[in-house]
Amino acid sequence: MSIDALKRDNAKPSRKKAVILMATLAVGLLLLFFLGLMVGSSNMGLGRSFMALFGQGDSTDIRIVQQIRLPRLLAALVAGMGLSISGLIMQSTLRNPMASPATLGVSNAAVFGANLSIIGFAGGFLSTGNNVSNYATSANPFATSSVAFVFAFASVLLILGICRLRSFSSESVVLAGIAIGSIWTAATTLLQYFATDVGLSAAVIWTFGDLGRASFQTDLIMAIVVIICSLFFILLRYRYNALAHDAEVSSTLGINVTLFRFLSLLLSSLITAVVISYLGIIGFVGIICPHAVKRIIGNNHSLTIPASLLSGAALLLFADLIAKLIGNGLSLPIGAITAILGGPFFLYLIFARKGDKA
Amino acid sequence: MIKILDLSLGYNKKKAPVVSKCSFSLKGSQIGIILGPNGAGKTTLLKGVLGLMKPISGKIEIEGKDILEMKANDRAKLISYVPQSFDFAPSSVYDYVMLGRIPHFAIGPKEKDHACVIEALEKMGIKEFASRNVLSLSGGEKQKVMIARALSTNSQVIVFDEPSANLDMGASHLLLDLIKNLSESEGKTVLISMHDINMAYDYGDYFAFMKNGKIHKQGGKEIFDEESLSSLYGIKVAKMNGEKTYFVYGGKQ
Repeated sequence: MSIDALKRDNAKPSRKKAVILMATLAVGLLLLFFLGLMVGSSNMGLGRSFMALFGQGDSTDIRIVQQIRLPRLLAALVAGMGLSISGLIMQSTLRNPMASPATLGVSNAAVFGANLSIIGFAGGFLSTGNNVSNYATSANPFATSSVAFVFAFASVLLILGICRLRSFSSESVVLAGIAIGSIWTAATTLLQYFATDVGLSAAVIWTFGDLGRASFQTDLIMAIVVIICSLFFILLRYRYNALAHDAEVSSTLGINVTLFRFLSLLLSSLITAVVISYLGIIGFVGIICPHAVKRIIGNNHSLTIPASLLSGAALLLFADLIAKLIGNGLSLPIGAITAILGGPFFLYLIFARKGDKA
Repeated sequence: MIKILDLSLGYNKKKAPVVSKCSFSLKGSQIGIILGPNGAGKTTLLKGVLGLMKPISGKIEIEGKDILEMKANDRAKLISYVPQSFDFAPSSVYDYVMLGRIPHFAIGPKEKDHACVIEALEKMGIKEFASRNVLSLSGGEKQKVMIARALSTNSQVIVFDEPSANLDMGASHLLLDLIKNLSESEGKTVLISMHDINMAYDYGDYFAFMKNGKIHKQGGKEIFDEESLSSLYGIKVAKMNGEKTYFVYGGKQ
């Protein structure tokens, strides 16, 4: 049967909706990106920001746009993509709509690591990067992030190690994530109890997701991880389609379910660990975006993977814009903005779930 | 053709095997039916045949090839599975049936894979449902979608676990008619585990009576006698011969 015959056949589900969605998201993404470059606390105006982007005009303007706003927007782009795809893969792998990038307790462990670094070892990573005169942080900007990452990733390996005993079954992974996550949270509480005022406030501020911490260097590291993991997910997209239905049937289709689940959980948690370690906690992107995408274009991972990547980036760019606009000179923590956007959406998902969406 | 030789299976190495030393073989377009009470080891036997469980000992051959020695992906091309429960995630019928092609493509489906999916949908008479969500279908329709998925693989052997368990009497017969037609027209070897003796008798070509993990009796329709069936299920089973042969179950012996 030729392709033309297939098209005439009309049996293949239409991809029109998906194409329209992805095109809209791509255009929206570009718009939000350029809008984001123009908006900030310096009130320099559209014209000046645009000139500065291309290296024209006042040297402070150029520095603000190229060294502060650009890495920040790139971080929104990459982190949004990463958190969204990580959420989608978690939900499909675990067959659990409530699974999120942090299901394996990644954020609790990262928060503990950061707290330990700041409170225990005076990590000194206080700058949020919004300081114009000192945009390159003087303290080692990687100290706290590195400790956070080490704990986050060690926690992931620990949970996966335990869950290996149960072939990474959905229930065991989710429950182990909750159990280990709450241990990290308890340990964090103990640390904070003994912290000084300054240490405590620094530690708490660290947990607020903040795109201002990004530099070109961190963006590059996040991008490498997100791109490599996304490629893996895209190549195996049909296997995610199978696993989303039934593990037993997937096995009879020649898929090594245990290994596949392990790699999927590992890579999606790796993305989360890297993003959270550099930027702090940015919640809900990994739940809102994949669910919204699935409701609109269905569950085929050939479509939901690229659409989730695009929608995650768009949401974080949008949230960042809102954070800068309503902050009136101050940029509000992006983690709070995504959660405020996410809460009502989550309620909508829970209470309005019906219909015949394929 | 499928040949099972001295197959023993167990979940726990320390305990006695759940299925022990089972042997039987099916040729060409035969329908083989495994009958037996709950806990007899029917499902375990099917799992072993499908490669979902590593056998303690024994051999399974399809078309003369030892499928236990094969890579999972190659095995999946030879044998496909229709489970008992409809464990679907939301998905279009078309995308679900495409899963059956996974063993055949490395990264994404090619033209041939799409053609196989459409052919399978046509054979099951569900092409008009292709864009619908599997979750919106009736029990019988869902069953057809699962069979279409198994058909799209183009495997020689198809295994069904209790295919009529969730269907009413009429729908069960329609389904078994369909399976029989498929096995005859496509030359598929079919292995079914089933509870309904009458349905089995009507549709099967070869039978294995299983109890306590062992095959007690096997052969054609001649093995259906009152004594064997009564001892298989532990209740009195009477054979009625009229225009058609059927069986009725009585109380405890």
